[in-house]
Amino acid sequence: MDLQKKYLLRLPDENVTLTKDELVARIKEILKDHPSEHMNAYRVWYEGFEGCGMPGTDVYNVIVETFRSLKDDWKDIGPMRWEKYGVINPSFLNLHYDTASKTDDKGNFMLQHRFHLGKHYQGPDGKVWWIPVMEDFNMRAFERKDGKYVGTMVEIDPYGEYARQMVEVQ
Amino acid sequence: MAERIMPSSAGHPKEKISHGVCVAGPMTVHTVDGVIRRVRPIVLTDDDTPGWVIKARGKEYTPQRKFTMSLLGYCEKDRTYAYDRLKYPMIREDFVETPDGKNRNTENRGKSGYRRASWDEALSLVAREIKRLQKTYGKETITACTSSHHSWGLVGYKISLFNRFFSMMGYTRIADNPDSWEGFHWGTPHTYGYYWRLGGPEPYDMLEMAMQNCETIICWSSDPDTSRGGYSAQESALWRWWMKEMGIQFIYVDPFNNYTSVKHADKWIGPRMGTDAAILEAIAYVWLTEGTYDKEYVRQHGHRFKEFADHILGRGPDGTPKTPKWAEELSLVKAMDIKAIARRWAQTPTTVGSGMRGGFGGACRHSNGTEYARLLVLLSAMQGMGKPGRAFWGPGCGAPMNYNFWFGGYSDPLASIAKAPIADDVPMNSVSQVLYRPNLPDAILNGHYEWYGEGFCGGGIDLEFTRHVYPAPGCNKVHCFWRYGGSFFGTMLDTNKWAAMYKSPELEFVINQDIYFTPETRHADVILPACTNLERTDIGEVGSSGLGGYCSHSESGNSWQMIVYQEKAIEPLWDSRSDFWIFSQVAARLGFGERFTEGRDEEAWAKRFWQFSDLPKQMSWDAFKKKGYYIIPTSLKEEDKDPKTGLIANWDRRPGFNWFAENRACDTMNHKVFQEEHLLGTFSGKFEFVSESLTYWAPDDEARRPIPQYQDSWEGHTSLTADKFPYGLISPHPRFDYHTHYNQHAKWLWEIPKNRVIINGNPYLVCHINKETADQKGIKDGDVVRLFNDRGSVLCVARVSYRLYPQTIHAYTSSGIYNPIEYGKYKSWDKGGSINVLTPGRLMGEYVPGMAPYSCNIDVEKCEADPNYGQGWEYILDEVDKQQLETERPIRTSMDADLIFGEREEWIRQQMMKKEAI
Repeated sequence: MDLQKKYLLRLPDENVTLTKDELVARIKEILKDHPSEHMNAYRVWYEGFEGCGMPGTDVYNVIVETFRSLKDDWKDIGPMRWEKYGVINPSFLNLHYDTASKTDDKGNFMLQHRFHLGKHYQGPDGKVWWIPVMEDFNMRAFERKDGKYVGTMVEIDPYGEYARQMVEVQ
Repeated sequence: MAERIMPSSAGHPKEKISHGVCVAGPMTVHTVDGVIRRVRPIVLTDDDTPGWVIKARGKEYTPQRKFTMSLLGYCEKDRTYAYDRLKYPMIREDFVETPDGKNRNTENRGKSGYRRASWDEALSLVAREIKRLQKTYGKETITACTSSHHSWGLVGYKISLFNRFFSMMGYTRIADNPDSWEGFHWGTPHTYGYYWRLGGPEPYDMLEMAMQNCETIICWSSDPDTSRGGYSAQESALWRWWMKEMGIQFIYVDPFNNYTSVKHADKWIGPRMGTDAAILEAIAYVWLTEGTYDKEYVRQHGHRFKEFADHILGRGPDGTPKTPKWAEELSLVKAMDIKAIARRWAQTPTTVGSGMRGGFGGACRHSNGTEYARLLVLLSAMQGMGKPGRAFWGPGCGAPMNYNFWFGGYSDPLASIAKAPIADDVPMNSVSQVLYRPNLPDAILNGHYEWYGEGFCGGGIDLEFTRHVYPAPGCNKVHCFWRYGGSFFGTMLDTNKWAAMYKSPELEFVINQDIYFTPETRHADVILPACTNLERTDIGEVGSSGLGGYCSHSESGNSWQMIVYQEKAIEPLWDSRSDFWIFSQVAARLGFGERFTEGRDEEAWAKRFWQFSDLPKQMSWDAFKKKGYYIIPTSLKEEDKDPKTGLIANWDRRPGFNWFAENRACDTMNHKVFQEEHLLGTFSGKFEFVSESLTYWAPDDEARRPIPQYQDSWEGHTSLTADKFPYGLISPHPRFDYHTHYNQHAKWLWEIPKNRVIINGNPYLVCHINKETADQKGIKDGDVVRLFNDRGSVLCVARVSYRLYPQTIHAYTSSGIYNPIEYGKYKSWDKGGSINVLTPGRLMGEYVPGMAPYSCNIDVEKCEADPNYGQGWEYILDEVDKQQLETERPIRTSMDADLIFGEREEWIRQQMMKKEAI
């Protein structure tokens, strides 16, 4: 008689029963080389497993536990607001985000993974730029000097060397 | 003031031309000696950019070289010199400035007369009262709200000027509801994400996609000729003719055979109100049983489709197959018609115009509106949404545009004098308490109100479910209401409740800042007269080349992207002043005048919008002012022009939603990070046939079930009131008005027989009644009728017609004037056509804070017109006109303008005689 605890996953086509080891392995597969900067257990459940309905508490706990076990890859950052789920605690930060590929499998450049909309960045020439508009073909910035916006709107080539050397500043 | 002299052949030799822009489109304003003589559409000159060209089915299509205006735009002169313009600051004649705010005769609001005041007196009173109220109750005791779109221009628009003033002062914000597309806003994010587009789809390059690939367009509760979807004039009317001529078949589904349907429909289907969701379920049934949906697409991109299919086929908990026959019993649309639509939709590349952007309609403003909207998206997904010709798109937007050219568009959060980079000093409202617009009267009258949601929830699905309580913990109640522009009497539901609110002594002080003596203005203690767009300087944009605020690039319903220098054509009439001036003056009296203006006047602020855009690369400020407008080329590259015609044939094409169908990272504008990972904005990142977000946030929501489905309305053909009030009131977006901003003020509109019939000096609104119903009630075409229910009565003139479903009565919303026969009496019969006297104030559901004017039962009877002459309130303004102040300015009236017209005719006659003599 198998006394090992089984985890029931309700998926679109069928109900799947997994052991903890199997479940953890599936979670690690989903998280491996993940392109996102932030994650939480619901994203793993809905986007990774394509789960139906709320994840069971036991499944949810295993997902969180797995995140925490991957200390070199994911950092527990506590509560964070998500536009879909509201505040989720714990949420996790991808420690390899900066070096992760910013292109999809077809080579399309994913600009929004490199810059955060509305944040300030310093260029190699020391100028501080505020980036309010950012698409993969259209990145616009305003120079910030002494607390004021100066000059006109400036277009920065997101593929150029200047953009690659920009670093986020407060 | 930059001026251009017209060529001598075009008009009066002293005629000067400036440019303006209003909600009806951009225009040239022709003045002679400081009097507006006419307004005209902007006709492009040779130095303007060439147009785009769409090549489809062996032909080439390019727009005409002018920017059309909607009929409302042609009323701007009439509206500027309107009979009901506010000429002077006014104070309610029985208002008493008591030190404690009590005993101010608030019960007389709405019927009291006014006395003329000087600006200094009125502004000083406003400042004194604000200081008293803030000292007594705190900053949260003042609330303020704008109407929707009463004023154009990036400086003067509500999220700009209004936001700057009130955020600096601190106030209880009133959250707007998406009153034009409620069901989409509260529904579709739960099926395909796009909460940041407020439920709407991506319109990018969809016109070209449809013209090249589409064979069928279904306009479901959509009337794009009447309601283009915002501020797009009549530009898209031409596109629909193109599509019609090239053989695309149009199917219209609407209880009212609307104006676009009459022109274009190959088939009109008029269902019973509120049963649209049932028809959509039956269409899904046909596809499922006949196997005619895109199985591979659904397998790849659908989430929990099997459960949805089980529900449709009758294998779900209700055990009812959603057959066409089942839907016929509910909707009275024949099962064979439902099958025919289903098969046509499946067999040909079909796009669905939905009553969202590009042709607003009312099915989404029913208590079942979220389910209709969600089903429409899911059915589009079942047919491969995003594949060529298969889309969820209204044929009133999506023209080729230059998305690489940046200029802060209308309602763009960056294009505001309250926000960076336009403002150096960005104010933050210090008050956290908030009210909700549809239920403002409930909050004031009952002193307590609770609701879910943040109004526009573009910041996240989670915002739909935040719970609010009024008064907020630790906050005082509201005791002062500053109403800015336009009238909610006519746009918000259950109008009589609003009138009752104004009489409440809870509102110790009411300020109304407006251009006209609207029904709501007549309930204020102090009235501050503002001037029109044509009397002040601003800068405007048509085409939404910027981020677009409400939802990005949503206004791409124009053939041309145009930025207009909105030049002051004439000085403010009478004692009216620009809104900027008024707010500056109050700010100065409250001690933050310099901070508010940052030392800039209106032109200096307007220049900031030019400065922080791509426009300086193309045109200097002076050149822009001199020309009056700039049209953004669809592509700035010379090589993108067709060598033969010079038209722009290539541009940066990124068809909406095509990225998803083709399994690519999202390449369209205004996208989210997760779309670059090829995910939608739903929990699962796919089309959710069973909504995970609703399961998560509101599993007990009775209005929105996880599987979208038809439900009987709480007020509809099956509800208890149906016995007493057997007819459904269909009140779509108006054809002859816009948020009540035109019908009262522009008398020219009253001459349109489909709009108004003047009887005994009062303009009665026209309502459509089916011939069958009219016969039963003994009503003949042209009779005065009373539409009524428990909430009130409205007198209209009947137009007997076959253009609507029998159990339905049609009258346009937001075009009413609200003229109660007995002013100030609760539930007095309205003769101004304010149809929303009849519509319910109830929200769609406990968790769905949308309003539902289409859930409205009424009865009709033949009636007599009011024997009293006129509208019943004109005497109030007449009395004020008789009062004089020592420093009076010369008065100009519409009669002056007419005299100038006569002058022009005489001048033309003389010119002709000279020619003949030669």
